[in-house]
Amino acid sequence: MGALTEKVLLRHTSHDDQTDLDAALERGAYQVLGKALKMQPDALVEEVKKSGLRGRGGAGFPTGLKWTFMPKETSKPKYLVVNADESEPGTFKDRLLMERDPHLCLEGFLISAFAMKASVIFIYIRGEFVHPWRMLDEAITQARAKGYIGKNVLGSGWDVDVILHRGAGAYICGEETALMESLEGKRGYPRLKPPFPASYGVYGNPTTINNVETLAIVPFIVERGADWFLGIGKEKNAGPKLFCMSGHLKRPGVYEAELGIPLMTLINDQCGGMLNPARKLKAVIPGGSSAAVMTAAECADLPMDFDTLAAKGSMLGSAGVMVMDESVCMVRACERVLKFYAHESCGQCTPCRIGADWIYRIVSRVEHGGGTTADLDTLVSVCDGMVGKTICVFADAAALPAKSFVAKFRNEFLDHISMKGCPTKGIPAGAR
Amino acid sequence: MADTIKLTIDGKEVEVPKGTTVLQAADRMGLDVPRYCYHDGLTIAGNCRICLVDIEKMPKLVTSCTTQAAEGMVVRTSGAKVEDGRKAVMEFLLANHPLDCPICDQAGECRLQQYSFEHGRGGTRFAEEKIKGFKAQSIGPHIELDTERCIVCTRCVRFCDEVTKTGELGVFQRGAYSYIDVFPGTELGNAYSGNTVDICPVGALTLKEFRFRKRVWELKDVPSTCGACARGCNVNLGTADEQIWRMTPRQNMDVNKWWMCDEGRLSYQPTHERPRLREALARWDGPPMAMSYPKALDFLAGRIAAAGPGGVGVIASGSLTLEDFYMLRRFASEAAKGARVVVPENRRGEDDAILIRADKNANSAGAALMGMPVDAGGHAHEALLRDSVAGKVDVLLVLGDDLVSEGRVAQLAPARGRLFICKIGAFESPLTAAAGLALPAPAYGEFEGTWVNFQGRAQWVRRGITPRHAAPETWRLLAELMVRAGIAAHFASAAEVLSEAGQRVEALHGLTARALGTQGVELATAGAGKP
Repeated sequence: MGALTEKVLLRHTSHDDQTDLDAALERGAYQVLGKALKMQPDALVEEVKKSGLRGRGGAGFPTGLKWTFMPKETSKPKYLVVNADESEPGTFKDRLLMERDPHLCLEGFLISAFAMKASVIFIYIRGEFVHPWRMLDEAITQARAKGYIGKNVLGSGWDVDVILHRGAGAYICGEETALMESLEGKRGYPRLKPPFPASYGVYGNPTTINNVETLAIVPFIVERGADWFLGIGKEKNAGPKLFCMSGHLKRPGVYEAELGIPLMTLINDQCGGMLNPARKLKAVIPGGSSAAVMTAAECADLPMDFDTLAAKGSMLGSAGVMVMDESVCMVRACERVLKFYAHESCGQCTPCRIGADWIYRIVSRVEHGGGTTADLDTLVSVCDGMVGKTICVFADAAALPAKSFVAKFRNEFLDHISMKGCPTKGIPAGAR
Repeated sequence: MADTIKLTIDGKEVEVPKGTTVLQAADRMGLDVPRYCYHDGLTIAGNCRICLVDIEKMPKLVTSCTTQAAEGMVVRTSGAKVEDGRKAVMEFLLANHPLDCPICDQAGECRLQQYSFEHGRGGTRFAEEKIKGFKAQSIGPHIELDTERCIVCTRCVRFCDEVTKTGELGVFQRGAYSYIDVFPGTELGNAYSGNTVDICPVGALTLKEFRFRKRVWELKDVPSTCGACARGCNVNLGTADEQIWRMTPRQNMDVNKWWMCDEGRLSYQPTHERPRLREALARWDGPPMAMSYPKALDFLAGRIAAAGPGGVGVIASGSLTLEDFYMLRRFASEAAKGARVVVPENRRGEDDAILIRADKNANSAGAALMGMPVDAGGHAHEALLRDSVAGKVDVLLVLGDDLVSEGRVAQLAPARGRLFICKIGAFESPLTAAAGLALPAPAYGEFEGTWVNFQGRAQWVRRGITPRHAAPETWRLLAELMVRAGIAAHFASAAEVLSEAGQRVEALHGLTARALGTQGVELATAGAGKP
């Protein structure tokens, strides 16, 4: 388990002209689409199901299985929604794909939409992603002109339209049902489930929603077969995966590796090790800020796949790996993470609306010297009052990392309380 | 059988129709599951999270309002696990809530207070500074908003989206800073805005007309019927100290569901605010002269007796009670034979798709049942007034207020020498000054009786307060006149009048006040009475 023998998703992202359709075509773009359109849609779904592909957005739900939830016989139009609202702190893989290889993304979207007989593809792209939006918008225009989008795609008799929609800057709109509300022009509040999107999605029509990376890998599965995919990574955690490496690393960036690659291999081999080799690794957030933090000891032999991280009480999530060395104040890091959630809670459910703000303010108070030991108990108790009591999992996403910081770095919190403030305050990072 | 589901809640089995939520099933059993955001008349939002229950085989507590009942489900609405969940939600709700209960209009009927008492922690662990909101913001002609008190349950938002479909309200900002407000450039000015106050579970939305007037625990709710239009919404009169302080809708699924319009909601105000007729006033050429009521009746009875055949004209308000109309019917056939009775039309605006009727008479259908249908088009009304001016009428009896326009009053003035006008009404009006005799009548809230709404539904109107100025109901006055004409007409109450009417008028099928209850009854043959 480790590095790939060849790049897959990142195969052409280093070419500056890959965003241009002609250049992309020369490198083989849309060839799999032509092949797929000659196949039975159900066979495509079956192949993806067989590959065991799990959603790359965060939850890791089997993609092929999700596709089978779409009703077979329906008089309603079916939709594919592409979740390009990549907003999880520490995550920037979809952005790279859309910026550097938008035609690969589109090819994946189109094949997947065809597999589900969807008539419209809605791409909901994060509002702040101006450059990726431009790239994708241009790619859509080019693809439409070539007949990859529109009526009777490549003579297959299948009609499809692509609608690219920009979000307005709310993290919650990456939650699939809030995204649909937002897409419909409403306030981005997650919906009650059931009904699930496959039966009642955008505008009440059957809808499947997938992450950009998930769909971008589909052409490879179709081209090379499920077995090729299953041969990469490990059981139930197959395939190549993009890892967003950030923090105190020599070479942060997006890396493609097998699922299950050890975290330290990613850090040391791919990213060239720690930014300052003299400093020890302190902690890693392995899957975006919603994932529980892992201590250096826990990172020592840590395969980066869905099931292992879940078993260890964290998650692979969006594979936003944030690496922190020993100069980092964990209370401050926790405060910063919780500030994000306090700011981004949509405010629909009581426990999250109030709880996300409350836990941020407790940790902030501890960081700035006003904390008591009782605060830590309150913090954990408030987190418990949030977890599992809301419509969507946002509350869990805020409360679980908060609990992990307190549990794993309790001494740092206690130091802040006894010293009435942050021990690193005023000390430049380089001198810590 | 396939359409129902059996489940067990708190150890008792209950059978409910498919599609029923656990909360609704618990409601059927009379269990008190707490709720803020859930309302029978609105779509389910599931946001407040207070209605958590414990369901066997489910790992987490679930909100009972969003969970559909399923066959064999075993639900617990109490117990340590459930109480812990509710305690947590209560603590969240109160974290930023201001401590202004002593001056909050909702105090006494506040669900935050109620559930704090039942499910709260007693203390708070919230050591942060409370988030400040907007206080006392006027967001519409009747509504004041306090965002600090708001728990963002979105009942008001959903009401404006789903019931009135006017969509004035929305949620702004995010997270703990979320607040409800009107969209820029709009106001909460729809015709039903007051309902948002009723459904607000806390003191965030208050009614300007009630705000700071009275503590709700001092009010007694008298179940009655609104008289602002032919709908007859079921209401509660909030009364104390012989005064009506507010009107709120009372649920009746056949008439008004949970709602009422703002006009109806404020229709008690004239009772207290409009200048009232205080005493019997007789007027010849000089200033009016006060008279005792019995003496005034003697005087009026004499005038009626002296009138020639067909010389008595009656203009009767379509908002008189069924009992009034019944007595008027007897009066016109037994005492003032050949009297011309006109019930003027009183229409304004259009019927809307919610509650409001263009017919502003509360009892047009009741008048029709008594053989005095509303004078559609106003021709009979016009003719009677014209004949009155022309001297073809000796006595003009006006039963009710605002039935003769100011212009008409001016035209009637020259005929005063030989035309005797008697106005019987609650309020001062131009006609009062032109009338030879003005007699006070009870205003809304002061009388009891029956109204038949546009659906042909008979509903009891309850008296909330004692009539001002000892004014007798119109039926009583007419009965007194009949007695003075030597006719036996002795009734102690409106209920007695209705009993007799029920026996003698076929369309009423033996109707009694007792049968009306608090929800009214549909009169089987009242179809003819529909306007």
